[in-house]
Amino acid sequence: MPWTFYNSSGEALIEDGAMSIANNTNNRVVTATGADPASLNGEANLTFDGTHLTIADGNLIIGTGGHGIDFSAQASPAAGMSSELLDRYEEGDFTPVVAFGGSASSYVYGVQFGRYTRIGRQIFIELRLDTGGGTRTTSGAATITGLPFTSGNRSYSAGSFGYLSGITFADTPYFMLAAGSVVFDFYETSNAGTPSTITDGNFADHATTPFQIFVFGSYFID
Amino acid sequence: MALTERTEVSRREVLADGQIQVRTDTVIERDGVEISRRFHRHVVVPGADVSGEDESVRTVANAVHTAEVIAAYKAARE
Repeated sequence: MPWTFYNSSGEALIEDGAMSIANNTNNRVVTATGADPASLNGEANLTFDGTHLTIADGNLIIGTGGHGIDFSAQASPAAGMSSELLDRYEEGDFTPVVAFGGSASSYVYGVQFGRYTRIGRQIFIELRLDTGGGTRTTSGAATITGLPFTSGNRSYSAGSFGYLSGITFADTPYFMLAAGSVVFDFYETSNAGTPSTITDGNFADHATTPFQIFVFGSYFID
Repeated sequence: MALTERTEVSRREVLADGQIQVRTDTVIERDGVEISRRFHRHVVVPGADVSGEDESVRTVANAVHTAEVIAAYKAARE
């Protein structure tokens, strides 16, 4: 029996023996153009073979915040698992600054570079600071300010410097990031196990010795 | 062919303690069509000088950073 598909306006859309989809071939996902639809088109860059959906070219765009890729079908999640939804990814830059006692000094940086990648609630950062001029004009505990995200309220991260130059210390230098903070605090711990802050007094004035700081680290946010 | 560069604040995320996470996008356009976008982030803490911030960030900071919020933030850091 001959058949015909009609649109909502009563117009014949597809008649028996006349069905056609433009640009179609095996496994292409078909999309419609027009409200009724006026035409069907096989998408060259979007295919489904019954198991895998493939985007040959272009991005998968999550159009609404809070959604992402759900991995909850994975078996045996670890104890303490709180989420299996990958809903955030971002990469960009930030501007690190050395400060003493909470105030930036008048250093001029030859290199002042920071970049980050956020995957879920974890922030990976890389930074480099090289003084190229200026001088130390503030005093107090040494910090690096300008981190891209505030650390989580239950976090207390610590890490080691990748490279230090022009900064004196007696023992093992490291930095700490307090909970709810955007500041790396400089510390050193003696061989006897006693921690103490690194201050402006540990930094050379640029007029005598430039300093360099390289850091690669990560921390969690809420 | 005209290349233009502009910046726009695309995120103003207010945390429970009043800190504002700000994302600024640098957008490069060719003849009005975006060809590149880079993100830069910083955080504005309660009590910070916001005079150099984007107007939209100042508006949020002025609303959120009340004397009580600033005092609570400083107390939590001590």
